[in-house]
Amino acid sequence: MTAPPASPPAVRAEKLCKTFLDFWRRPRVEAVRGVDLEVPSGSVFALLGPNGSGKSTIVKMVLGLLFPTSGTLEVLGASPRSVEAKRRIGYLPEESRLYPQLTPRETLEFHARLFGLPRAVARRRIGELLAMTGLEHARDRAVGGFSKGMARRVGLAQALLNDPDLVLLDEPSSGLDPQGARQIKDLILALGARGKTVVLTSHLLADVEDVCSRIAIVFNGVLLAQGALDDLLERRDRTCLSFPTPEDPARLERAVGGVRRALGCEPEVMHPRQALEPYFLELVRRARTPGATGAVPSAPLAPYLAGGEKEKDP
Amino acid sequence: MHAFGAIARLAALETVRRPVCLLVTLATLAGTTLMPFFLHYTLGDAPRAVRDSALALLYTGGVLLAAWSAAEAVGGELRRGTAALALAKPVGRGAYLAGKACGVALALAGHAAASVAATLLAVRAGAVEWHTDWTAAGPALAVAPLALAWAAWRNRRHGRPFASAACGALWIGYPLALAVAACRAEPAGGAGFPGNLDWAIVPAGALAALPSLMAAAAAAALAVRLNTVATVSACAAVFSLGLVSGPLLGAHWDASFPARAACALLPDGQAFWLTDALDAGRGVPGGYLAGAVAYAALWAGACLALGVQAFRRSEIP
Repeated sequence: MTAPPASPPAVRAEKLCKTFLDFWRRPRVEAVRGVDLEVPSGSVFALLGPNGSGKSTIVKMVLGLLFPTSGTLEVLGASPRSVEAKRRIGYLPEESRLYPQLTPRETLEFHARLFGLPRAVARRRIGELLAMTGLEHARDRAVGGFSKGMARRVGLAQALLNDPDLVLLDEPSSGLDPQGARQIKDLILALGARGKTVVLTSHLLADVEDVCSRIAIVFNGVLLAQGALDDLLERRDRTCLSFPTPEDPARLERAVGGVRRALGCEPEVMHPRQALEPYFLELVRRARTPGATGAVPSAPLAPYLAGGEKEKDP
Repeated sequence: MHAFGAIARLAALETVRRPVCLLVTLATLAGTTLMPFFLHYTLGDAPRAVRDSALALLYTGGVLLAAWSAAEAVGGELRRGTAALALAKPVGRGAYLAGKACGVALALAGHAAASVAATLLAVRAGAVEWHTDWTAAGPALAVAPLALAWAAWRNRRHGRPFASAACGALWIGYPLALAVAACRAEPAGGAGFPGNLDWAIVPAGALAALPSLMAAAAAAALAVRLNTVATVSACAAVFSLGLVSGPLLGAHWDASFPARAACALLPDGQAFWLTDALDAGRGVPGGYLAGAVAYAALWAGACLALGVQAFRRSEIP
């Protein structure tokens, strides 16, 4: 019995190059140089690199906003400029690019019409997204008066309107408070669990470690490393043991002595540290009272994003 | 079609929300309304002078507003990044550009309708030498202050943008004022409806408004590559040359290919100015108006087609 064919990669780039030209058509900046990139379908993929390394340029080429100078690029099996392929893509840019005079509801209605969503489907999803992003109380306020974090939430909502198969998130946690950042991570994990492909760029390496299964590291337009996160980060020259701290310190001493005798080296003994994020979130959760101000998500995840309701295709 | 409609609708809304739209609209309509008072002493030529001046304001104000609005609708969005977010959706670049131009043209239709109504009122107000017909001038003068007061109330009470509320009120107010004046006969036993208004101005006004449609298309196409100031300047130059292309280049038509090419490419502004027909009491023939609409639509369509080609080759940073 033959195995089912593997899904084609969501994004495939071969020897991708991008050189920006000046007014006289002379090469000015070589932003991407010979990048071979493959984002497997259904993976949560991080594109990492310092500022100016070419990450955003690659993302914009994937969206068809910039054109490769040379090399090939395929997105969901089609050209990046394919209008039909964009029906399955959601994009959150690094800067929230919203119309300041529109309210969140009007913004999402506009983007829903761009996707060609039926009115009933759009209305339902907009309601769910506003609840998920904690913007229900501000649904009819002009976005121009929002803080950066609230504008970011509107941007996130418009990126998810079409229940995309490929989600591109450029610095998704930028401007968000810790609860918002946690919500983004939970959202990414939920989308990944549903088989969606998520590509994110971020400077927050701890966040990337929490959610991504594969990464690529870019510097100066060159791809330095690419692969599964565990394979890249695992240090096979060291081994850790983790066990509950015994109440009797003498038992711990005996265990350490046993390891010392068996391996002929001095083991390093330390207590693991709790991460700041769960500590912070637990404190806030216990302290939260009704009527608290700010963005307060009322729903963990929009039902349609969690694969809840079955809807007619648009 | 959904995307095209959404983009056109948003472009129309954004156009009326810009303060420059209110400024140009107010200047055009206020200038038209006050024209009979400025032109009292014209030795019997007041109606013609008021009519021609008002139509000229409609023509130039419309072209300026169209060029600026379309330049901001396209170029402004490219600079602010909202165009990138829209084009990351399943929206073709042609649909995007055409939607923007159509949205601006839609907003300008309101401006044109209000200008034509104001022209009709102004011509009636100054029809008699040394005399102001207050049955027309009164409603016309009342529109602007009432519209601004309404917009201020809407802004204070409901937080709606002042500029768009004021524009909307002006565009509705002038036709309403026209309806009020049309219902009242001219003073001293003058004509009643429909003889109390010079309806021949309506097709002439529609003709004078067509260049703004062409300017919107041209500016949308140019804004793909140029900034707002350069776009508006280029449009102003093209339309100014178009107005004088006949007298300037017509003499060289037979001898010079460049002159013929320039005449063919430049928008023939004189084709939209038919006040001589009004002077002769003939009005603008329906067939001529249809031909002018077709010419404007073809010229605008050609500009948009070129703009779409340029846009498809443009990168969106």
